[in-house]
Amino acid sequence: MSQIATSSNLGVRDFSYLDLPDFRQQYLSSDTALQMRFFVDGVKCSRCIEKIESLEGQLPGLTSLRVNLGTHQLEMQLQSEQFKFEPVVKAVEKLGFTLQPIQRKEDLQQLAKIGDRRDLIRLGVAAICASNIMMFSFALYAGATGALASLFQWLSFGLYLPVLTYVALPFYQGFYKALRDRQLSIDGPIVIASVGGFIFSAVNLVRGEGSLYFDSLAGFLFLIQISRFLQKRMQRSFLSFHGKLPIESLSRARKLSTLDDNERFVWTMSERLSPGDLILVKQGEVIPADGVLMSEGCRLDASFLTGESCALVRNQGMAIEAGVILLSGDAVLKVTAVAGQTQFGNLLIKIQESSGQKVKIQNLSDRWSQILLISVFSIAGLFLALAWSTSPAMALERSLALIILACPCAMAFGTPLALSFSLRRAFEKGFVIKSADVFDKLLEIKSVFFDKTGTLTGRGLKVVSIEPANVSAEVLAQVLALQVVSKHPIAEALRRYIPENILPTSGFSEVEERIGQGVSGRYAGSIYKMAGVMVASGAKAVALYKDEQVVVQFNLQDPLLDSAAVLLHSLASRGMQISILSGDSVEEVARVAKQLGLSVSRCLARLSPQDKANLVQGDQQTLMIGDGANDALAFQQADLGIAVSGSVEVALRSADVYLLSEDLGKIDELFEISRRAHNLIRRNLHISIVYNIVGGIGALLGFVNPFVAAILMPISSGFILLSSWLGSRK
Amino acid sequence: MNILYLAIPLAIVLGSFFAVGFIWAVHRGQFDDLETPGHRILFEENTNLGREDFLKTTNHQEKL
Repeated sequence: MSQIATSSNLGVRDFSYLDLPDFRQQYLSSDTALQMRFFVDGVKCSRCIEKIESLEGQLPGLTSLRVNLGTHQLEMQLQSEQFKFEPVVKAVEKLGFTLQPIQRKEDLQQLAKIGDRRDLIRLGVAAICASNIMMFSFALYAGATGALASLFQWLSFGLYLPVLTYVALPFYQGFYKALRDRQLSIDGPIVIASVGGFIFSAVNLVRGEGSLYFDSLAGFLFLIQISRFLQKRMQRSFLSFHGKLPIESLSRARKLSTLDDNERFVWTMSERLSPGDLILVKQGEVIPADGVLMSEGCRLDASFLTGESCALVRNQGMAIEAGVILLSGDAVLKVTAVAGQTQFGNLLIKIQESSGQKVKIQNLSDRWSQILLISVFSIAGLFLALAWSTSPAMALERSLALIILACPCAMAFGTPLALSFSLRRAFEKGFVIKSADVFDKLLEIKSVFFDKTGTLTGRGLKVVSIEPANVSAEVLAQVLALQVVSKHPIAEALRRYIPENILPTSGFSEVEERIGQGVSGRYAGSIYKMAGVMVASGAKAVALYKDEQVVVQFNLQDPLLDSAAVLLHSLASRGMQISILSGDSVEEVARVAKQLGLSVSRCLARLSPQDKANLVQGDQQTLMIGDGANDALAFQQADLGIAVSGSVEVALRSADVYLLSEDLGKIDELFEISRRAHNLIRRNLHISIVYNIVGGIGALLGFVNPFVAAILMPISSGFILLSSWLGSRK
Repeated sequence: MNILYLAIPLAIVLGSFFAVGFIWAVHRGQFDDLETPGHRILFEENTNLGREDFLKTTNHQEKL
């Protein structure tokens, strides 16, 4: 039974639009003219990959079919223009996988790939240069002299040039960006050390005396690059997840057009729709534009959009909003508004406008590096002024040595390393995190806002009790016979409730479903009917009637997730203020509030997306937890947004964290991971501060020459590596 | 010690050879997907089964 329920959610999947010229342009990958990319759901192991990829060569014109398990993507390549994508997509879906086409302009993964390749090359160049410089330096430290020594020194110089001009480029960019925003980031000291160290060493090289730091600098730049690369990779995994209700599905509609003197519904891009057009929407699809229902009554699911837990019923002539999902049969609509004029389109525009406005916080290591940088420079300046009278050359050399040595390099790679370990740990616990800022922000959270439908309560109704408590399997079989085809959420709840070994009674005739009035049918001479029962507000009940007599009554509710209470309890014990912001009815919200023991004054109902955002904005240090399109704006206004499993795509894109499981209790673990990440970073900072003080004093007293630096620097890096590794292991 | 004058240029040539090779491999997409190719080696190389038979022999769909 559960299988019927899941497949019914998908409805009829129609991919014929993919092969229309207008659409091909949108979906074809920018790499190759005959390639499309899809998100693929359900691929878990080698068997799945083999099943999909074995279609290659079995379908006409299909030259390549490649699954990428890491990014959950499928790449499809055709031999020439005359072949179609649709049959391939259908064949893959028939194997039990669901596909979602990726539009060219939305292909963030593709952009990320290009960035990744660039970073990799940079890393490779850094590794080759740094290791060769170190090899030559080793010979120098071991006592090479004469012409050979000078050759090695010049070779180190030559090998440092690509590091300075190419590998260190991202640091220059970061430094410039921070300066423009009148801030000092960790990139500042890195740039000063790598450029200053280069000039200092180059001057010494030409003079033929004094110290060279090419080896230490190149080694550090490599370590910093690789740790940043690791962090970026972990954050990147956010891009490989996609939510429900893809925005992409709003971009097309079946419009009634005249083709060869025949009127037919054909796929058109939504932007070509105009008010007055007739469009056809099939079961399970998203309504692409606001319109008036022209066909018979239908049932709609607006829970993703508004948070309303009840299925909506619309009769002929009533208005329907874009963004809701059609649950019953096919429907024909007369378009009244498209794109930005619809409420949903407006929401999307607002989200786009306010994206990227989120305040970037200055993280712990940036703050520390600022303090360090200021103190190092003042000490160096002071020393230079005081020692100038004794010996200008000595003063200059020692203060420069201080600046190079005190570069918070260990800090610069210790932090990203600690963060990437924490990101990985969070991922293992089921969190995908967009940016490592999350760890810092989470520890500051004071008030938490919850969405209700789909977040605190599951999506979909659940049978909580039946009257009478004992009913025969025969009665349940009759109920099933009446409910087997209905797409109503209540029917789905009943199908889930009735044990799988019970099969629908055969022999029902004249089974008929009337929207808003239930299902009736004739069996063994009696008329059976499943219909709603009037009960106290906030509750839902249906009953099976046999000749107008109630046989059995089912009471249904939106089930509260077990983990919700656990999470709320632990959040409250952390001293956080908890509120519910819902678009659902007052009764439903009050019921949930009561069950969770929250004061009704903090649980607000009937809120629009904008209301939610305003309420969140009005508070400080906020965390929003939700799943629907109506939470997306609030996600952006909150300091932190967590989208729970089953979120819609709009919400997912504006959230900072995506929780992959339904277990809300995991959010508590995220607090724990953040706390540990924070501690680990602090410990790394302490190590690097101690090192800087010792090294700095040594440099000023003149104890530090390149040989000592070459020993000291790897030791400090080793400590940081060890500390990060130990901290992430526990 | 004279051998060094041969060994050092050789080391540099070798180093740049690897650098170029690495850049070429990155551009060819060798490192884009580190996960799936590991699974691909497990495929049977030559299935003489038709697609329908292939589907029949797998009960994976039920497991999902």
